[in-house]
Amino acid sequence: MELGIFFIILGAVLAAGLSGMGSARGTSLVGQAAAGVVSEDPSKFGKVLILQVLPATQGLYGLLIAILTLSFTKIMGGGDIHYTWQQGLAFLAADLPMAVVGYFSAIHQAKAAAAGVGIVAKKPNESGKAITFAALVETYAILALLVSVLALNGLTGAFGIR
Amino acid sequence: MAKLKVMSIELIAPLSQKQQILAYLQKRGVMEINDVREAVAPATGEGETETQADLSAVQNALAALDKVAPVKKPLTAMLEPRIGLTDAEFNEKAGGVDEAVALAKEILSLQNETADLAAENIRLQTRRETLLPWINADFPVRSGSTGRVSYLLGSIRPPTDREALLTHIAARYPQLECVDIEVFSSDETQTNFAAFCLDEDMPEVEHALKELGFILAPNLADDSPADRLAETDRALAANAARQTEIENALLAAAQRRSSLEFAADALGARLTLLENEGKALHTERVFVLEGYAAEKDAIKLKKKLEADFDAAVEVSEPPEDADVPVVLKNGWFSAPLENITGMYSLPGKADIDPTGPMTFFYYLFFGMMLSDAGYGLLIALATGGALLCKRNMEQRMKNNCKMYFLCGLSTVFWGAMYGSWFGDVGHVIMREFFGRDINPLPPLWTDAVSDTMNVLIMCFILGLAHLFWGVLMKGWNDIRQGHPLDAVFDTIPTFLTVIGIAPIFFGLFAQDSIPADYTPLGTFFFNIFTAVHKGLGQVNVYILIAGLVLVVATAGRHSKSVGGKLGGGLYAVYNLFSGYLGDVLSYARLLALGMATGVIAQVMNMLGTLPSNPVLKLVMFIPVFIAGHTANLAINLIGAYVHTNRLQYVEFFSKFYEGGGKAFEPFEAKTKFYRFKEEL
Repeated sequence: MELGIFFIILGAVLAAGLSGMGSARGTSLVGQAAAGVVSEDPSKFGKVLILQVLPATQGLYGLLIAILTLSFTKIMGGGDIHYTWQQGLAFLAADLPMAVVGYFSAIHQAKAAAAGVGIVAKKPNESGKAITFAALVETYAILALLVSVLALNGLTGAFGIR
Repeated sequence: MAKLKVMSIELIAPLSQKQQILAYLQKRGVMEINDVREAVAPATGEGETETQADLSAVQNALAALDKVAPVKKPLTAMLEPRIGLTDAEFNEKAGGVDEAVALAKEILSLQNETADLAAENIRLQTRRETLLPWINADFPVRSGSTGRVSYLLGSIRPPTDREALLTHIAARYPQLECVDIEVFSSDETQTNFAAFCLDEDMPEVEHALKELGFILAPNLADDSPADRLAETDRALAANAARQTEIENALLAAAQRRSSLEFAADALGARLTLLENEGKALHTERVFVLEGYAAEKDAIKLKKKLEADFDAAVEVSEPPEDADVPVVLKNGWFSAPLENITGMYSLPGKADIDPTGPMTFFYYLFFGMMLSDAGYGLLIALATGGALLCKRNMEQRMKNNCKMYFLCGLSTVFWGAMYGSWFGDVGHVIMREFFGRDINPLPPLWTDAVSDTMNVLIMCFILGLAHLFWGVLMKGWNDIRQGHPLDAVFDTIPTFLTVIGIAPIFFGLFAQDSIPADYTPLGTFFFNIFTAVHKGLGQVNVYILIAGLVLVVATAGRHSKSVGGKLGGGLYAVYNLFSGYLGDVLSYARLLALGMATGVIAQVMNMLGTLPSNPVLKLVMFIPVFIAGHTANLAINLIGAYVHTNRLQYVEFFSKFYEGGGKAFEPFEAKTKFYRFKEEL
């Protein structure tokens, strides 16, 4: 197998893996704060659950990028495919924004969301604001996702794959 | 529709009618009562403490019954409304409240007894377990002396036998002759025995045994252990019998649950009434209540009160500086979104109600982010069905259903545009099960995954429209407050500048040509976009310059000095560029979240059809389809909801909305099971 395919798969693995790790850490962090609130008042479960799910999206974005990488490069779906190592590295680079930003933004979003759990505990009516604080952090994951998608799109066009 | 006009109400009536008037007001639930007392410690109304105590008793009793006899609620229970009661029915039931409180207290005392019994049971069980090893002893289980002979009871771990013990003692202290050991029981962990010796030999025997790890037994029984065990067993049996009795009593009490539920609601209502009674001012003969109500309610209320009671009611415009509560009133489409506005902040004095203006984009964006027609159809069918079948739902529930119904419809629309029906399930089924590689449900517009750029541009254009709509709202609010010049300066320069820069921005993303097999709708959009883009591109520099000049000239107009005006203007230019760039890019989430739903749905379909054996494929496909799409729907539903709110709160509201209004909290009975409210 050529090195190119290895790099492409490495990129997909990093995008799904790092983002997933970030989301796992993030949801765990918020979950711990949320469990504290629910132990006092189980009726707040729905509100804190939304906060816990917020940092889970990075993992999904990472998965999205991994799948797009594998399907754009035809690794998923089979066929006779060949990539030079330079091409492979280019795809790897395209995956990096999602991998790196996905990891860090999930953790930082979780911190904002965990603080938001405090808002839900004390002022349940203000939970919309708690959600907004955490959702602001996600913007950067979305921008990274966008950059990765655009780069993947551009590469498949440039290499004439599609 | 928007914010309702709220009027100030002042009511004076004879003290003798106070209770009736308060009860009347509570039932109608249209007036908020102000606390006009001086800022002193709130006086507890007459009977407030007792009512509070009764209420807690009833609530705790209901919680206790939930544990013993949980009420099984069907999934649709939350669609059921509270039970409505007429005046006569209410009065009839109200007679049973005292009885219900008594029942509640009985339930609580039974519950306390259960707790005591459980603790007692644990004590008895422990005693039973410690007695069991000594059950063969036919004398009191404790160490002591007869006067000549001493005896030690205890155990040694790990288990051993009589011979080993005697051998050890003999080896350590060969001079001791009168030593005997009787083993009562032995199990895999320890051996329980008694050691006998002369009084004077005791210290040596004890020392020798301790070397083996001897543990002295506690004083268990002054009579024989068998008698003691029998007594313990009798106590346990009695406890169990009493527990069954209590359980039956609680189950019987659970039959009268509805009387407790009514009492909980009635006592809660009485408590609110007492609290509000305390807000009135008194003289010896009359009392005064002040509050707010929506204008149409206030006028009706005045008429009714003056006809039915000896009351004088004055309805007037609230004073300028009063913190008037906000009542929102919107039409069928917008009313469900009042909650969303409320979650941010209700409109303040200078604000318009943003609910109506955000309605169209709310549903539009929600659909774009969930973006799967199959999911949208599920949501729309579930909520639409609920709306049709359960017409008497509580208002709040009805609004939620309406909101998700409309969001669902929008999702169907966008799903059809992107060609996503449970991902690509149509294509997958045709290919995997019928062997024909065709897509029965092709996109009406385009596939978001392969045509990212064009979809992205559409998202930015919609985002820009959303932002401009917000700026227009700002202008409208300026006009409403009598500042038409501000309306012009707040809107036109921004529009010109952003329209001037837009062709340059979009040029970064726009494509020169489109694929030959593009959908007709896609080609149509593309042609319009290209035409506008090209047309604007020829004049955009002039528009941009005009816009910039206007911004610099007008944005700093509130500054006093010329330098301040110029500085304010230049700062506004910087803000405009950085702000709008960030704002517009933020709408990329419309694409990203939509694509996430579609692609993960496709992955679920792919996973389901992995096996090559057709039968195995079908067996695997169905559960994977159901579980996978349920999970995908759940997580993307939350995502779509959160990010639609965010686009409204952060991008849209920031253009014109301040918030900070106080919610209208009418004096009413906040009940859980029954509804006491009557229309005015």
